Amino acid sequence: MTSLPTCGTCRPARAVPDKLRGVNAAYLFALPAVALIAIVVLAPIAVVILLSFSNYSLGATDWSLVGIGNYAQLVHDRSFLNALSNTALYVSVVVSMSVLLGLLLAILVHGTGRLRRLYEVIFFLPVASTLVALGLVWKFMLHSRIGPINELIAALGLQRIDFFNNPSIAIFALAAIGVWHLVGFNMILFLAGLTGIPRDLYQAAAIDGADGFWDRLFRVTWPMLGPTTIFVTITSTITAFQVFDTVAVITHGGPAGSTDVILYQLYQASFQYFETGYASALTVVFLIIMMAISAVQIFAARGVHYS
Amino acid sequence: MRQTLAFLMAAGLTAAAAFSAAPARAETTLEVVHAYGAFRERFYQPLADAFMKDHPDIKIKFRAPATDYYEGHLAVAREAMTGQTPDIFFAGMNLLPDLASMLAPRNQITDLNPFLDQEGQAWVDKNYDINVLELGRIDGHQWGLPFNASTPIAYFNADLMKKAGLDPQQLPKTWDEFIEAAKKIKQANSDVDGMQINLALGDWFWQAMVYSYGGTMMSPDRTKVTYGDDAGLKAATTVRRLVEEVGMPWIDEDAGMAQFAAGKLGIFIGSTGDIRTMDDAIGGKFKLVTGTFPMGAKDGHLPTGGNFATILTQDPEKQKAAWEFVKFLTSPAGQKVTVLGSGYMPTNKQALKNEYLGEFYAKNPDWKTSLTQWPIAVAYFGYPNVKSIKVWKAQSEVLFRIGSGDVSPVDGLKEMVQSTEAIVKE
Repeated sequence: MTSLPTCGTCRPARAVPDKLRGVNAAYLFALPAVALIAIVVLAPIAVVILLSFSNYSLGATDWSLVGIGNYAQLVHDRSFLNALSNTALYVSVVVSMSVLLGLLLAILVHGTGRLRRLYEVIFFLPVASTLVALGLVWKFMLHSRIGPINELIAALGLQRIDFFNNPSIAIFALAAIGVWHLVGFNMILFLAGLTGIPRDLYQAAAIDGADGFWDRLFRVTWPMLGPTTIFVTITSTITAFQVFDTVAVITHGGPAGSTDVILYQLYQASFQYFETGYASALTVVFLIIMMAISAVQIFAARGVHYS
Repeated sequence: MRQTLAFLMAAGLTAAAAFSAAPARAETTLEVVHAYGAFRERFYQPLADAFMKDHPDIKIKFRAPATDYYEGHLAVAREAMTGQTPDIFFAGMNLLPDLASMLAPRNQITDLNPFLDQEGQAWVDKNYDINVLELGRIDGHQWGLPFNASTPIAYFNADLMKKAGLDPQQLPKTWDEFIEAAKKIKQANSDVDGMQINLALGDWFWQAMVYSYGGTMMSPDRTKVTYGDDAGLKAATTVRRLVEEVGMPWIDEDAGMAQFAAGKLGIFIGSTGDIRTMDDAIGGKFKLVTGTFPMGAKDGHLPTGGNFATILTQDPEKQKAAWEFVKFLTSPAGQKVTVLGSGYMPTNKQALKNEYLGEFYAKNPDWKTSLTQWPIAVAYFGYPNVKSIKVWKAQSEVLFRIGSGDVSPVDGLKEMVQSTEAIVKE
């Protein structure tokens, strides 16, 4: 009788370490990566989310939780809504233009023979450059009176354009710089996509009578570039949403708040006004937008067929 | 003979020991932060080099410069929380009260009174004007020593003026005269602008406009917003007139300077601290004349720009070294380098003597314009609790709409005052 219970306890006792050992090893191997992600990604996000429910201001010794106060303030904050709509306008211009121009350039460059590498380098140069430094260059290129571009416009007998001083133009001027900075990157991605299209598809199309430039573009190239286009559109959107450098260097959100964008407002709230709680709420909203875009990518990519 | 040799060897050894001991003596390194990177080459670095030559045991190390006074102030505010503030910091004129109220309770800023006392009252009187010292004194503490001082002045393109039939010897003095002159310059030259004052970035010039009409931004105790009065309305109306009648481009100081230096702007309103930069940028393309800031009222004032040298380190050794450096910076010799490298006004009385700047000023009257405005210079106003940037952001948006005519000066001013009151109360 005494041996049975001991045996009974002893069997599971042997089984548990077996099970534990197997689980332990797997978790142990994953631990460094998990810990790293937890420390540098998840923990800061958690802190930001917590702060977004507080009235903490940088350096303050006492602070308290204010519930959804910061978010309620966001919804009623005219300048936030303004920044949101400015950002949306900027993104829509930059994404549509940089994707279309990127595709166009890729097709043109793809068709050139020996000069292809040269074109690739030329169009890629803006991507490799620092936008802050080039923002300063653009500021004077587009200067209303002494900028070379306005000199050119005046020489053609047209009215000078107040690129950065006219509230209805400034955001488009910034968008133009954004497109200039992004288009080379998109071109390279499209070029990679183009290289992946099998030659025999064009031959088959030609046999069926579709051998003109437009026929080839719309019947073979464009559909085959579907997955690339989705990817390029998503990355462009994310990049465009993060517009900050040109605003900080050139317009500082002006004139009359017409170029105030989300990230610039976030920067001002946290680093200039020290309103950490409010800035955290802004960050959370920004994070949600980013996640939504990424989610669209995941789902949209499923609907687009690869060759 | 042998004795002599032994003696010589001993002497040599002692000397060698002494020599090697010298570098072992603690070398003090001072970390310094200033705003406006362009001034590093023009005077900060030359001053540090000259100082280190005289004080081989003190090393001056510059941290990355702040883009402007606000950025510098905010950087120090962040560093104060982690105890990484620089040893010496150049604080913007309107930000010293905030800097002191932030750092003094944390014991992170040094009162300079004991150092001044040590030098003796006679020495202080010989070097610093009491009014200049007063600018850096709050509640009996001397938190800062004025290093750079400036007032806004007017830069005229004499060639464009002559073309418009204006006499560069007879400069406009009031806002009305400025607007008339600017209109004439624009009419006489098809591809230039008449006049520009920076209302796009930073509130110094907007304050100057209000002060020039005899107004103030807030009551002396910083509790009540006061620029909604008649003086503020006149300033706001002038903003509208500058855009409507003169067609003033709404650009910041850098862009305005570039346009002026390119010969495409008749009158540029800027800091006196930019004369050196402007001279270099113009490079003799046209003749530059400077004049006083336009006035709107007899009792008009002007806000003093520039910065204070403050000592933030709490280490007694470093404090001593920092005081030596600050003393040198504000000495006549230090001020000479500073003034010639920028155009700022000297903050040391002795610097006006002939052997320092006296002769130079006599030969270059354009550099002296700002000095003639000293009598009407007052402190550059800082809004309570470092709200200046936020206040200005709201103000600048309304000012733009006043300028473009979207809102009348009366309504715009009301809107500005309301937003300022709301922000200051937060």
